[in-house]
Amino acid sequence: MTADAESDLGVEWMLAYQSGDERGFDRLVEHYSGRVWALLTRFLGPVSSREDLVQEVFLRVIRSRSRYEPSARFSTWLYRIAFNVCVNERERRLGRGPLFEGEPGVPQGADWEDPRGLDPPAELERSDAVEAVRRAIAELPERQRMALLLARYEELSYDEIGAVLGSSEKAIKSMIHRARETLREKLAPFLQEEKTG
Amino acid sequence: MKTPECDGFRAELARALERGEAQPLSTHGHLFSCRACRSRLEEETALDALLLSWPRVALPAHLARRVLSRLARERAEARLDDLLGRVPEPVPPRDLGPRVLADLAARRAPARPWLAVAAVLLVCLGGALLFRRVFFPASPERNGLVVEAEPEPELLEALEVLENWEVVTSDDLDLLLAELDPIEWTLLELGADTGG
Repeated sequence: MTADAESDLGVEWMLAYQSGDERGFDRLVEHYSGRVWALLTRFLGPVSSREDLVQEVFLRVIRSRSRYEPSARFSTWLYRIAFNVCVNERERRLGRGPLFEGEPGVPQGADWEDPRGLDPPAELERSDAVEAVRRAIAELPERQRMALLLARYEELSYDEIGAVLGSSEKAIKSMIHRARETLREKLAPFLQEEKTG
Repeated sequence: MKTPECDGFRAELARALERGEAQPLSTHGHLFSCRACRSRLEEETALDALLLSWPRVALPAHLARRVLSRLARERAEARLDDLLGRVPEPVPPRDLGPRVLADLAARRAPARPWLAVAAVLLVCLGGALLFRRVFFPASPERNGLVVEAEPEPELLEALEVLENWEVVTSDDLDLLLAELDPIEWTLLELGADTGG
C-alpha cells in the first residue's frame, strides 16, 4: 500500500466494506457521492440522468469490492470508475444531439452554486465568462477534458490523473498542455479582460 | 525570439501550473527581458482565474441518502454473495476417486447376466409375435385403419336366435304365456315336441 493510500479515509472505508462492514460503504457514499456528482456535472453537463450515473458508479464499487486493491488514494480508483461511466454515457447518448447542451426542463442555473457579493452587471459579465468556459471545456476531447477537470477542480496530481485515465504522467502533462492551448484560443477575449481587469 | 532561457522558464511554468501556483512566477527574472514569456504567464494565470470562475457544482438535497436507498437491493445481493462465498468448499475424503471406481467396477460385473436374460426374453417375445402372425393373421387394413372381417351368415343367424331366446327368457315370459289362446298353446306344444 502506498503512503497516499495509507492515510486515506476512503481506502480505510473501502477495506472495511470489503471485509464485510456495511458502514464502510455508507461512509463512502456519504463522503464521495457529491464529488462524483460534481465531476459528472462538469464533464457531461447538467444532464438529467446524473443521479442514475452516481448510482451506477457506486454500483460498480459494490461489484468490484472483491477486486479492490488499495494502490492509491480511493478517489483515484473511484474517478476511474466515474470516467468509464461518463464515457459509456457519452457513447449511449451519441446521436441524441450535443452532449453538453443541458436537457429540456433542466434549469441550468440550478446546477451551480449561487455566487454571492456580485452586483448585477458584474454578475452578468461573470455568467457570460462561465458559460464560455463551460462550452470551451465541453468541446475538448474527452480525455483532455477529464484530465483538465481532475487537475483543476479535483486537485489530482498528474500521476493520479494518469492512474484514472490509464496513461503515463508524461502523456497527461501533454494532454493538459494541449487542453490549455485550446482553451487559451477559445477564451482569448475573456482572457484579455482578466489580464486588464 | 525563443531562447534557452525561455525554454527553462516554460518548463518552470508547466511545473507551477501542475501545482496550480503560476502566480509566484510573476517576479521571475527572465520576465524583465522577455515580453513573450511575460505575456504567456499572464495568459496562463488569466486562464486559471477564468477556470476558477466556474462555480462549485450545487448538490441535490439528500443525494447520498437517495443513492444508498436505491442501492439497497444490490447491497443485499452482494452480502448474500459474500456469505455464499464464505461457505467452505467441501473437502472430499482421501482416495475418493479410486474408491468410487472400485465400487462401480463391482456393480458392473453382476449386471451382465441380466443383459443375457433380457436378450432371451426379447427372443421369446419375437417368436411369439411371429407365431401369432403366421397362425392368427391380423385383420385386413383399409387406408391404414384396422377393420373387422365381415361376419359369417351362420353366425348372424345364431346371434338372432340368441336374441330371440333372450326375449323368451325375459321377465315378461309369464305375461306372454298367460295371453296365449288354446290354439297357440297347442301350436307351442307341437313345436316343442318337434324341436322347432
